[in-house]
Amino acid sequence: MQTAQISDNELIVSYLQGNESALSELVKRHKRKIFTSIYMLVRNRELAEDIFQDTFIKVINTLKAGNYHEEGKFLPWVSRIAHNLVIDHFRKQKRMPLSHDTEEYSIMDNIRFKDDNVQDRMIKQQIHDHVKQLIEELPDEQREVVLMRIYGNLSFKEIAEATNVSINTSLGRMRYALINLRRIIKEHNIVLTN
Amino acid sequence: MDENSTLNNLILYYFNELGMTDSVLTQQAIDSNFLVHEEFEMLKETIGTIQSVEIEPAEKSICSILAYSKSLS
Repeated sequence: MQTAQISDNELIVSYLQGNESALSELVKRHKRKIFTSIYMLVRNRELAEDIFQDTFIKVINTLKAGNYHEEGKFLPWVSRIAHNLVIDHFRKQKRMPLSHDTEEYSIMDNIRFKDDNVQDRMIKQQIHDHVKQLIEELPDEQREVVLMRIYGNLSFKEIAEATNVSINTSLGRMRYALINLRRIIKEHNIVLTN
Repeated sequence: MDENSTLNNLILYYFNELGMTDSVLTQQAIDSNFLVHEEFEMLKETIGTIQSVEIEPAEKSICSILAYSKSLS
């Protein structure tokens, strides 16, 4: 089966017909974007793994119950579930994220760059710390919009609905985030190598 | 058009969230106005920097998800 050419919707149909490998492909296809957005919000590896698993358990339950009606928008739908679980977690904790990875359990161990060229990877490894740091330096509301739009592929309208603000506010947060990121990139002298 | 609305439009254009007419107008502005062109290039570079990093979940998490699904079938 040429899974790379099969759409998310076709994989969902195949999964609901009993093909477990279709789910495996869906997870494989979207796991990094979903996990990155969760991790960048909670900033704790263990918690991010738990929320990541809970997200897909909810996805599976919803699919199996026949309640998936987001044809063509699988990734944004999963991102919304992940985001809601993150919000639920912090609502229970009654605080925003403060925890960070410990040195012995560093997120660096599982970082993966899209470009697999060895030389590029070495160079990009050097800038990775700065990139991760600069996203973490953003105010929570700006970081949330950046992650939902770039990793979750949610439109600004969907982000506005998910975060209970107007479209203009979510767009404004993105604008400020990009201005801030640009400033931090300049301050840290980060040069994109691809 | 002020600086904020230009950047707003460029952001929406980058993510394909502008209507057809505004898309054409924005593309024309990028092509004809050096400052707008530079702004759009910086926008692409900033977003590209963010996109260059992806974090891999643990294999254990993937196995747990797939095992949960199998347990239901």
